[in-house]
Amino acid sequence: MPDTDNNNHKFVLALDDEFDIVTLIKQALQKYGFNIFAFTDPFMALGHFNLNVKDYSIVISDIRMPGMNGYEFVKKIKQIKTEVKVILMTAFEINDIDLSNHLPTIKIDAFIQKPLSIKQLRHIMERIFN
Amino acid sequence: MEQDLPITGSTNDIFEQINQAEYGAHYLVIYPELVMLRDIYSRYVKTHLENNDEIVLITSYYETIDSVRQNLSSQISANNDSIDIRKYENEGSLIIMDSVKGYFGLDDDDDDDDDKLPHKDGILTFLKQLVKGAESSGKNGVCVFADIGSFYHYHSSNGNNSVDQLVEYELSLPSKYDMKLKGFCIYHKTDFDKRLAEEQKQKLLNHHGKALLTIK
Repeated sequence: MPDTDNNNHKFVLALDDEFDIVTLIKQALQKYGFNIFAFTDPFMALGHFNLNVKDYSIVISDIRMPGMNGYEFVKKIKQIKTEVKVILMTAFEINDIDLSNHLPTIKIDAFIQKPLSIKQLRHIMERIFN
Repeated sequence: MEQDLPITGSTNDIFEQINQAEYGAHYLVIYPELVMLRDIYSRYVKTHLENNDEIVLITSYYETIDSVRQNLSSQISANNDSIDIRKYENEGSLIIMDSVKGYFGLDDDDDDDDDKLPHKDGILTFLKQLVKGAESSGKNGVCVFADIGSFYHYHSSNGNNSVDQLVEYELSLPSKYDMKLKGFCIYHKTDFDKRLAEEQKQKLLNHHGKALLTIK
């Protein structure tokens, strides 16, 4: 994992309609010095991303959410900032075909199968930032 | 167009409306939080499986099949008996399925996602089979809790408007079924409010026998 000081300027957006999940991610990544902003509402998350677009370097999003699903959210995020890294999470089965059908032109940097493992999240963050 | 408004009530009120529905009912149910939906379907399932009078089908979207099982199992009755979910699933009284697979018939190797449309005939055929199965096993009929969230699943992947497809699909179903079936179309309130145009909402409210809105 990158050192805590280096992570201070890295903004991470975590989005999941389950409060417990984003709280867990927030607590886990705060330990490593990330500036993490957690949301349960995709519309609020999008608004915050828009306002702080320069600072955000990574987005972690659930897929099945009411109002705006993770695919729609990521598409909007990428339209605003193409270079932002994206991690998708889901508790449901998903395969490459399904993913490429939903996001044919968008690169997903990592994928997390729920139930969420903090160890797995840490490894993924480490890989992305290294 | 005449403005129809949903009947609003607590989870208890909405459960009573659903529990008292007669066969043929095709209702629209709006819930603002998953915990409320869980409460409603769990109470319904518990009541009707213990009475052994119905087959209950739940197609879920915002929670996994395992999560539905877990919720049902953890519902404790007044005498502290939990629901033996696996037993009811094994004997066919309870069916839990993912709404995406249920409505769009996805197989894991299905790579043709260009034109995802609900398999209306397939769903109705399946429901008719269930009704027959219920009758032959001495039950009164079938009840389905169908989460509509799966219709938005393909919103970002195909060029078509999935909301139009949803409305078209709903309106193609009868307002009242002519078989021993109770159908509850389940909408998350955020989806209903944010994804549907006013005209579409009204069409859906008008078309269903009853529209029920759960409030806190």
